[in-house]
Amino acid sequence: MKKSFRYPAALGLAVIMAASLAACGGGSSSTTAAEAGSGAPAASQEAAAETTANASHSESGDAGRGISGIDTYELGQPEGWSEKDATKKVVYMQTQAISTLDKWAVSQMDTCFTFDYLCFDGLLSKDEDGNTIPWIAESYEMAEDDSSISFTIRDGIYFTNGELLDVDDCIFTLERIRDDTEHLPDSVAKSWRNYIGEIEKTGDNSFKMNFAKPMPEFWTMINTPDIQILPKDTYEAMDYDEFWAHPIGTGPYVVTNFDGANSLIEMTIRTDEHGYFGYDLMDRYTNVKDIRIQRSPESTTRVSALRTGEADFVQNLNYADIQPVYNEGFHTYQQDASTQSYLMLACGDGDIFSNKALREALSLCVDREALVEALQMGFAQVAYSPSEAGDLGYDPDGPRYEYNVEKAKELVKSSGYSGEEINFIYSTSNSTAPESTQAIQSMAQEIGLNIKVSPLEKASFDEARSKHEYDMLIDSIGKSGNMWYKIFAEVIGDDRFNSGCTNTELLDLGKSMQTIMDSEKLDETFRKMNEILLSDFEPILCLSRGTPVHAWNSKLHGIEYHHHKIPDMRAMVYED
Amino acid sequence: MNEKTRNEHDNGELLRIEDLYVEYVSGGAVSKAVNGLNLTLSRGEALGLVGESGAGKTTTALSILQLLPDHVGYIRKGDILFHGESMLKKKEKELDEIRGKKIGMVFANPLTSLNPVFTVGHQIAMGLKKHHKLTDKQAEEEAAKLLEMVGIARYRLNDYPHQFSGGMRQRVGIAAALSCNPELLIADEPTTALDVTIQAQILEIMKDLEQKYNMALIMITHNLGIVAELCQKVAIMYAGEIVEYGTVQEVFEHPAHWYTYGMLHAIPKLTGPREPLEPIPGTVANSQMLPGGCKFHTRCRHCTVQCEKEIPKLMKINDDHYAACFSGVGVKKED
Amino acid sequence: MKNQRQHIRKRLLASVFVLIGVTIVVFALIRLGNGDPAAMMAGDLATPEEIEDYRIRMGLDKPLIVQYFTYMAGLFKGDLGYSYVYSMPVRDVLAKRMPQTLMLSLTGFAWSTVFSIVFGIVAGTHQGSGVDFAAMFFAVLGQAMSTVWLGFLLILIFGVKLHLLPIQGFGGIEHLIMPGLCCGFGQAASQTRLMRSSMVDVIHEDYITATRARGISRKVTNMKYALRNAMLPIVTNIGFAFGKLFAGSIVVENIFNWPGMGNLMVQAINSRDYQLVQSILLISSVMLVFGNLLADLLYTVVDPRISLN
Repeated sequence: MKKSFRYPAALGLAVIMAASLAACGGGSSSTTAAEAGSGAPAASQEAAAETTANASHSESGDAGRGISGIDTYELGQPEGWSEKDATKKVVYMQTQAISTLDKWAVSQMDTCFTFDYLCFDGLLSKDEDGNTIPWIAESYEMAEDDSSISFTIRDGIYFTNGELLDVDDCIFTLERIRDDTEHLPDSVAKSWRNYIGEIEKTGDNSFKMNFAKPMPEFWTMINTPDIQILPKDTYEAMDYDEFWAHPIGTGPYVVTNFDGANSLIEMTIRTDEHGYFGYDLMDRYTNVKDIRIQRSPESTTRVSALRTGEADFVQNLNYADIQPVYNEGFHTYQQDASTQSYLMLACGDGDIFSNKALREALSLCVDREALVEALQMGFAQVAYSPSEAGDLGYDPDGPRYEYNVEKAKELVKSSGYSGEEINFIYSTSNSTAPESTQAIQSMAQEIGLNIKVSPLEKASFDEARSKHEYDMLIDSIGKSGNMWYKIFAEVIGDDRFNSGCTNTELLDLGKSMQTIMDSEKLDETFRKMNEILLSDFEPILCLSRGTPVHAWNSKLHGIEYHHHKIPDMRAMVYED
Repeated sequence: MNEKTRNEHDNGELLRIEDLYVEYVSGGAVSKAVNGLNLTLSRGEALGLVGESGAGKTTTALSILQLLPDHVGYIRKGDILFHGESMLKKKEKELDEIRGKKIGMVFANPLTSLNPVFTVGHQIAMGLKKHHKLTDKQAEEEAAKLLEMVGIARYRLNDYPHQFSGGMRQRVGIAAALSCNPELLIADEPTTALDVTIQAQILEIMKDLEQKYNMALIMITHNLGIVAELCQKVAIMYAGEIVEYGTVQEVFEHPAHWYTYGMLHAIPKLTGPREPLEPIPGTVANSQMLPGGCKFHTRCRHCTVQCEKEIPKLMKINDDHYAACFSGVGVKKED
Repeated sequence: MKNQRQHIRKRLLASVFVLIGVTIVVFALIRLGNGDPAAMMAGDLATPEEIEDYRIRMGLDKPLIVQYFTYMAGLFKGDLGYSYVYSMPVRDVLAKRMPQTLMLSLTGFAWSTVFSIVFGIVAGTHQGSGVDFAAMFFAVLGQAMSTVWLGFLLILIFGVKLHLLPIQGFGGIEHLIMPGLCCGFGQAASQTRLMRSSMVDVIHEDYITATRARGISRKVTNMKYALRNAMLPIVTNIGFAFGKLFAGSIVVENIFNWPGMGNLMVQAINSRDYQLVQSILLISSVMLVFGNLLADLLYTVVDPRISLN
């Protein structure tokens, strides 16, 4: 390259780089970090910390961190309103892909619950505080011995094709999930399939469902619309693919276009003469005629779409975008914790972590608060114990995970650990793992533990995990209503991830949970397991709970989360 | 000068180069290729331009046509007059009308001076279509005739350059240069790549044209034999200057510059007793670092103090002979 | 001529063998690697029985040879297999995603080709001028700037600040502008450089000076006689670029949420969606082989010195 070209070219490039950096309008990230820091509690005030973590749900929000307060817009149904008055359009962007609308045919790779609220209804539902309320079933009664449950179905509910809903439809829906092995694989349908026994019609509008075996997650699953009550006659008359391209439900919206390859659903409000029964029941209404749900995997693009108006409601903001988006006048919402991040230790005979002192040392040396501060910018809950306030098994006076580096060092010394390399694996599809594993590695190094971090592709990670080829791993798992059932009953109880745990008391408790339906008994079992987890430190060490933040246009009202992770968009009101 | 009326356009003088200085600038280094060159050529006259490689012969040729490489070659001083008009002052369009039509050029390297992706016929017909406004068919016919004239079968008109040998390619180049019957042909080493028989053929063609069309010729070569055969006048070039100029007879029989003398005596004789060859000591002057004074003085056995300090100008020896040498052979009237 | 046609036939036949080889290699590789697609589909908390149920569903319990021949037999019928991740035949998945990717790639290909050739020619014929400087600067910028940065920059300027263009999704021409720009950017930059230097090299050749010496104007010399030669390296470049069209750009599609194939491949491999991976790779290979053949053929057409043999 000619000499006379080099200098001006380099200068020009530098100018362009600088200009684009400036244009990106940074600066707010440093403010957020400083302000988030001011919200972090001292280590000793654990109870206070736990309440602060829930501060986002207070009326006034938390402007210092970019979380909006509770919306006080008037949402009651106006006089003489009907669905035909709806005119607005809302576009919602989410991260997950949507490959099919049949909830029970979906592989575990992706789920789209949002759609269920709009198109279907369940036997029971939730009020805005998350309490179970009657819905399609106007009353229900569980047998004394929890072996069966009876439902009485409400009158006057119509499907969007004009068909009246009756008991046969409900029975058909449940039997489909239980029996259709052609379209619904076991691994997906099992959460109902394994438990539904015989279903008897007991009257013109009532039926009784027998449990094939006790269903611990029953109460957390019955109050959601994802049961997808189907119109029996219509369903049986149509081809499977045909039905699910334009599914017919009882919900307020109908699907006009579903593109599974591009993860796109377009819906419009129902215009049949009957309308949606739920609006009167809830005393709510909507002025949104069209809804579009689509996937947008890149978080920055979602936020940009919100800013340009191409999206009205986006899921899951990058932590750094939360404060700026709030400052620009959008409504931000910090969702209740729905996933828990934890370390699993290989603690069978012969494993490094079969040594209790080492396990405890590891737990003591991890500064959970610092992790949440640094990696999630404070937008997550520190897991001081495996259950949180509101969960089954939560004990406000119970034991907690401590942070004590000195004690950890002593334990390591006394444990007889001779510096063997500890293999710490994580899956590359876990977006925060690279940083959190590094942080944990250096924290452990401080107390003398030699950890080697190995990133593995998801498939390899799964395999290594099932073959017990790890010393420790990091993973996260979801919640079931108000209990961390899957972690306690399946991961721990069945030792699903092959940790080799030999703590029979703990494992037995976990297994026993699989046959308990009574909430009080479940609560007791959770409590006992918590105690063991916090005294024996095996097989898991809980770290934090994710509380993703979503955002929407501040003129958009009526989005409900019911203290859950799924947005209920049935009754939105979009101001002009 | 003769006594014909001074008519700007027709005093018999076709080309005059006055005090030409040409430099090449590349990557900071300056190469003085032509340093005060003077030359005249009349209609129908054949001039041999002789010198070693690097003497500036090709540069002179390109300068006449104003085809020095962009941003590299610069005419610093002097003028080139064609038919009394300055080439340096002409616009591109005017120059395009002269090139190929009034002045033709044959390039030195036949392997690189033909466009590989066009047929030979097309390249010969190029000039005909532009200058004589011939139609494609007419031009094709003309081109075929030209090919035959240089000794190549006409059915090869649609072949590509890579399908010909070096000698044949050179002949194609000659055909292309001659296509529009130029008044002046500049032939840059046209026979260097050819074998003797072909050489003879080419020379015959050139002589023929000279006579038939009264075509002027600048024959750039380092082959003194060709000059003797073909040209009336000869100019000896060294380090970008004409150091000796005159009729072939005068210069070759009575060389007045020690360089010319050296060259002539470096040619082995076919007949007569065997004598050792007398090489000229040293190497050709480096155009980036020219010596002061007479540029040849570092290699000259007869160098004087004056030679080291002053640049000799062409001095008249007689009407047909000029030389730029202070201690010239002619001056001593020896040999 | 007959010789040429024979040679083309030979090349095509050889290509078919290459492609069959590709299917075998891909088939083997993806299965030999670790990772169990049935386990991935069944999910983290699946029991061994549930995983087995999925395995049978996916036909993975059959011996490898049977699986291979079932797949190959399907190919001849136009059946590219079944995608378990998308719960639909591979052909349907591709039909929904491929056109969009091709649209994007072709847009990028078209504008970058035209732009780079024009810009390169102008720069090459005006060496040292402002245009030349701009062209070289653009070439360096294009190779230095990452597509991600460019994408976000465009979104920021034209979407967020100026509200001129939509920043994501698929729709009319206005949706195509920014992603199309990003897609072709790298190729435009490198090809501009190539065109420019090719042009400069050719202009300095003896035969161009000889052309000028025949009185042909500068413009005609450059556009007719120099360009033909300068285009030679570009032609092969274009042929190869054509072969890469199908692969699309994962990065661009992700940033602009363009519903194309980009993400498809990565996801397919991550979830061990065997038949989707196989089919995508097969189609990519076909395009590549075809692109290579095209480049070779084009070259023989443009340069008389080269023949297919």
